[in-house]
Amino acid sequence: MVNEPYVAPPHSEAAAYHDPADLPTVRTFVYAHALKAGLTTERAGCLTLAVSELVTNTLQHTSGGGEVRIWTDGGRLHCDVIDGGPLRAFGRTMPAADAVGGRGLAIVERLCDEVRAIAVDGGTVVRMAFVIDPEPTATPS
Amino acid sequence: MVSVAGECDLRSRDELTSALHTAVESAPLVIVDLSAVRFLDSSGLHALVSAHQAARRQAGNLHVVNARGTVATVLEITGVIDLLRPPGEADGSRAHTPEGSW
Repeated sequence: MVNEPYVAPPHSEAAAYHDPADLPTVRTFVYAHALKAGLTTERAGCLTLAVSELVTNTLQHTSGGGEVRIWTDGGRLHCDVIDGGPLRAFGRTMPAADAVGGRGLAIVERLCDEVRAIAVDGGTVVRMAFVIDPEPTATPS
Repeated sequence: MVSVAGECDLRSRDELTSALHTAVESAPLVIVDLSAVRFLDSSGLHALVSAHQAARRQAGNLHVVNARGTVATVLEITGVIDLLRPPGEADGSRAHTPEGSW
């Protein structure tokens, strides 16, 4: 398998992280940009939680840090979390309520409108998307 | 009653786990008030479920109350609220919340 080099999306904003002390800074960065892009406070909070889970995953399971990139395109907010870890698998079952751990990536999946993992040179990109302020659609009768 | 405040993430997981385990060792029923928690993720759930398990091993219990915003969301989407909800409390009893900061 040949991995593509990671190409930063044009017009994206970036924040790097290296250790757990960076978690609040990354969350503030993501929340502010999500609100600015037009997500509701609730959905901006969901994206922030998803990114926090992915940053935590990097810090717990890889030897390095990573970078968060956020941008809008065609009524959608996109967010990449890039790190040096292995390709993450999605399509996860939520662990049982009384399981102590193992929930991080399952939480990410349930919060985002779309999420996928992409193998790139030297690591993985987890790419999330949120529809900006989805309007209720009429239900055909 | 134990009140938790601030952000329950990877940075505070060990401290929260230790505090909750101390609480369940000293009382058969521990109620954790989450009203002052601005953020809680899988690391915070790890601490809560671990302490709940410890309480159950001693025939005690641990419940959470007053979750709001994304704190309530993460408890709900993981199903952990079903484990930690006080008996008799109705579903969907999340506290009203304005917005949070980080």
